[in-house]
Amino acid sequence: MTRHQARLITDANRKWWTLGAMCFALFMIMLDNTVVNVALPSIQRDLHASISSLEWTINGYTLSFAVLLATGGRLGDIFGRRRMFIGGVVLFTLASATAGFAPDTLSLVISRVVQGIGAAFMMPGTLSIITDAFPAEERGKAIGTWAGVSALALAIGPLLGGFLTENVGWQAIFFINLPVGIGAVLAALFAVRESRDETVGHEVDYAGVALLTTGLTALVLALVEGNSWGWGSPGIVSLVAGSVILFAAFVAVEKNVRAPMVEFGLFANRTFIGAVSVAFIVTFAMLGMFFFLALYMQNILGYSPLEAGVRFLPTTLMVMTVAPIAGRLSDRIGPRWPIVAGLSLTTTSLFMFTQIGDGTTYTDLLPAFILMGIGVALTMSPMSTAAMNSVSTAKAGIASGVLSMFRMVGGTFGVAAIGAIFQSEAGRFSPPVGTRSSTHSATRCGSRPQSPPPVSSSPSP
Amino acid sequence: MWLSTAVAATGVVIAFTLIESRKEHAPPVEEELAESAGTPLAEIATVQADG
Repeated sequence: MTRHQARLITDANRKWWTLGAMCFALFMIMLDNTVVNVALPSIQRDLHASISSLEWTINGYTLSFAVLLATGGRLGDIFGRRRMFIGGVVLFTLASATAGFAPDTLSLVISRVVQGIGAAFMMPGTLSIITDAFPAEERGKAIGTWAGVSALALAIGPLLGGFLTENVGWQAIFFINLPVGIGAVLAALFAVRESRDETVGHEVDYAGVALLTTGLTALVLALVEGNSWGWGSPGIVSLVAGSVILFAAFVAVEKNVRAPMVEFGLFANRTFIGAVSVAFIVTFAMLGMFFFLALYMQNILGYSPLEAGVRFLPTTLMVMTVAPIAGRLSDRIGPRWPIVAGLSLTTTSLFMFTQIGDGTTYTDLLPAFILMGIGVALTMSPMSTAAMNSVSTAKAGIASGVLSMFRMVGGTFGVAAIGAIFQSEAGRFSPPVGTRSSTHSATRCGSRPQSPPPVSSSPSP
Repeated sequence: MWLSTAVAATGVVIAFTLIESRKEHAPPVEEELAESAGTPLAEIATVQADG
């Protein structure tokens, strides 16, 4: 370290530099969830892409990201979280460059899959490194900031994506990751201290990794393609049955190996079980609702993807503002009451959305959007703090990976469930007079929207 | 939307039932290391106290 760096980074301020580096990287991962959707029509035109390959531009990222989160967390515990984090950022940044230069859709989809792998290796690191850098009584504040930055990235994703696509070209949405990635690597190299789980050796549970990864791949693929292939189709039934068998084999293997990938002892803690259950539930409810509302605003209220994205801003801006406050509140009074209050507000907001009728306008929905933002912020950051404080810092990587995995799978379940209901309802009812276009749109939404909604397929932390 | 509402309401019950109301801090790393090494923590404390 040079003398100048030593002056800049001291023992007293190192944790804040660490938080900054993690937030920088998190910003990039979250931005990539929402920034791509609005560019899909341009990508389709330039690369002569089919609808199916466009879907895989989104799904390829979601799939590899979701299935490798727990593995990324565990490998960070074993080999060092900073090392895994930096490796993930480098992989993500290189894949962003190849995505920008992609000459055809196959190259683009492969780049997106590699981006997802890089994101899965860095995402658990962002939370476990913060957990290691901050003492338990300050973690709520730090994790609240982390959650706020994530919401900011999700919020500006559609706007930035729309601006870059219209003024520069769709490639710019990938090239923008290059300076952010380089900045995150430099900040991590100079500010972040290496940490790992000192209670385990360098042994990797390859059988556990293989079984969990293939089981999750089968499950997530079934959820992503269920509405398209048909829930009763042999392909989906085989994938679901296969995932159940693989998960059972995973549990059996984990109980018999010396250094398991997922230590089931984590689940002996009530708060950890509560936090991961809440993670699944809140993203199930939130992303299912976002999916429905994005389609509703585009296909029924007639907004463009960008216009629809702008109308989600009240929610994401509330998350951005309230999440740091919720973190501090959690430090002071514990996580239970902020989470209970947050989920109650989220439930109230969702109930308000059930009242959508023929004459509903965006202004009518605005209070529900605001309540949703406050509710999600009050839930998400205390939930992450509760999970991370309920395990020792030695297990922070795998705890962060499992928490993120539950969030991702919960969100995927939510979108799949709402999509299936939408498709079944749209097919059951004949169009009433005066709403033909709406019902037609709904049928189209149920099968697959022409332009995917401008919301994240991955949950905000 | 009703499904999402019902799921979120279930979350309220789960959070109230399972998540600790007090500020919970995990055991320090020393405790983890001692457990993994099979050494009772009290024994380590005794050794440390003895210098």
